Amino acid sequence: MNENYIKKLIKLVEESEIESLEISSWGKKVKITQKLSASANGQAGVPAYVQPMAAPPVAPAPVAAAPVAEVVPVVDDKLIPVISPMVGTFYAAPSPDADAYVSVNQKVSNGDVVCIVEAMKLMNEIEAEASGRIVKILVENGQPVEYGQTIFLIDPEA
Amino acid sequence: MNNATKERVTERLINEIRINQTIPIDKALALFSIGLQDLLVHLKTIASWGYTINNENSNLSFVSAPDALIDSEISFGLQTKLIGCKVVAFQSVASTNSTAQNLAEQGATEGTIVVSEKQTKGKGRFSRHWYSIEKKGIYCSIILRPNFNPEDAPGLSLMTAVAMADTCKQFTQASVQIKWPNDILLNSKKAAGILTELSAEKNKINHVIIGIGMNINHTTDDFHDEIKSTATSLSLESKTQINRVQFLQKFLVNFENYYMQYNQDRLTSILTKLRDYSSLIGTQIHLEYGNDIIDGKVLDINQDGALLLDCDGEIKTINSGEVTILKN
Repeated sequence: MNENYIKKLIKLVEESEIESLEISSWGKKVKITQKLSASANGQAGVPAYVQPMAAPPVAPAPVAAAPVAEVVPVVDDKLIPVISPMVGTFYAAPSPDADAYVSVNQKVSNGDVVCIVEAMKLMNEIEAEASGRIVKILVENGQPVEYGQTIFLIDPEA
Repeated sequence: MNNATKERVTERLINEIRINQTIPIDKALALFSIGLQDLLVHLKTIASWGYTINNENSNLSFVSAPDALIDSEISFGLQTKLIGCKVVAFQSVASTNSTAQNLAEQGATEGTIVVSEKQTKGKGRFSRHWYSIEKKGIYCSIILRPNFNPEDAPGLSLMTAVAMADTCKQFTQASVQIKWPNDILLNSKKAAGILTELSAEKNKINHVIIGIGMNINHTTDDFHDEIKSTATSLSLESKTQINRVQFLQKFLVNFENYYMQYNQDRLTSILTKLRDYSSLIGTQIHLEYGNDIIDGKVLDINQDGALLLDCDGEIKTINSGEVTILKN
C-alpha cells in the first residue's frame, strides 16, 4: 500500500459517487471518504482526505494491487452484500485444489455456502443471505478480510 | 425389548458390577427384572465390548475395562457437567467433525461429543488428510453453542490447544508446546492437531465444532515415511502405554474449565499460558499467508490470540497462515 496506490484510490473515489472506500491489506487499513454535494447535511463537496488507520507503510506491502475497480458496484444498493463476520483470510474453495464454491454470474440460494473465512484454524463457512446471482467477488482468494468487509455482492433480482 | 433399551440395560449392568466390584447373579437378575438367559446375552455383549467380567460361584465380578472409546467407558466417572454430557461413539466414521456437524444441525445439545476409533477421511485444514490409525489415537469432536459473537470464536482454537497441552503435561515429562495456532508438539514433534468449524449467522453462532486428533499409543511404525521425522505420540515421548479413555476424560475436564472461563473473559486468563506454551515467540518464522509469503520474528501473542510479527521493523498482526520456524 504505497503512496501511489493511495493516490490512485483517492482519484477513484473523487471520480465516483461513493462516499467512502475502505481497503485493507496486511493489517494496514486505509479509509478514504468524501462528502458528496448531494449529501444530507447539504455541504458542498469537499476534497477527499485520507484517514490512515495504521502507521503508513514505508515500503509497498508485498501484496498484489487490490482490484480497485471492483469496489465501485457497492453504490448499487439493490445488491445484497455477503459480509465477513470476523477478521481472517478469505478462501474461495474448500481446499486448494478444489473448485471455488461460487463464481461470478452463478446463481445461489439463500443458505448456500459461498466461501470460507479462516482465522487461527477456525474455519467459518459463510452462507449467502439471499437468493440471486453473484455479480461481484470483491476479495481475492487467500487475501485477508476485515470484520464487516463485503466479500460478495448478490443481485437478488437476477 | 428393543435394541436401545437393551443397550441401556447392558451399560447399567456394567456399571452396577463395576461400582460394587462383585454382585450375586440373583441380585443382578432382580435388579434389572431379567431372566438368566437374558443375563447371559448381556454378558456376551459386555465381553464383546472388551470388558472382562468373571462369572463364578453365582457371582459376577469386575476384572477389567477396555481402553476403548465407547460411551460406557468415556461416561464412567467423567468429572464434567457439560462437555461429554452425551457421548456418540463409533468404531469408524469418515470424520468426527462431519458427523458432529450433522448432529449439531439436527439439534444436538451443547457438550455432545462424537468419538471414533478410526476416521477414514479425517479432516486437516482445507481437507488435508489427518492420519487416523485405529485404536491408537483419540479422534473427538465437541459441539458447542456459545452465546458470544462469531468474531470471538477463533480464540476457541487456542483455548483448546491450551487444554490439550495441559492434559499432555499430566501424562508426560516431555516438553509440551503449542505451535501457533493449533498444533501440539511433544519434544518438538507434532502429536495433535485441532480443527475448529463454525456455523454462524451475522451476529449469532449456531454451533462450533471443535475437532481434535491426538496421537496417543502410536509407535514409529504407525507413521508414514513422509511424517516419520516430524510426528510423534504421547506414548513414544513418555515411553509408556497411555490409557486413552483416561486421557480423554482429563482433557474434557480441562476443556470444560477453560471453556467456562472463555465465556467470561475470552483469552485473558490463559494468555500467560498461551505465551509460555508457544513454540514460536522469539523465533524467526516463515509464514505462508494466503497467496503471500512473509518472514519475520515473532514478538508476542496478543489478547485476541494473534501473532505479532516483526517484519524488518514493521509490526504485523497475524491471525492466519502456515508457519515454518526458520531458527531460534
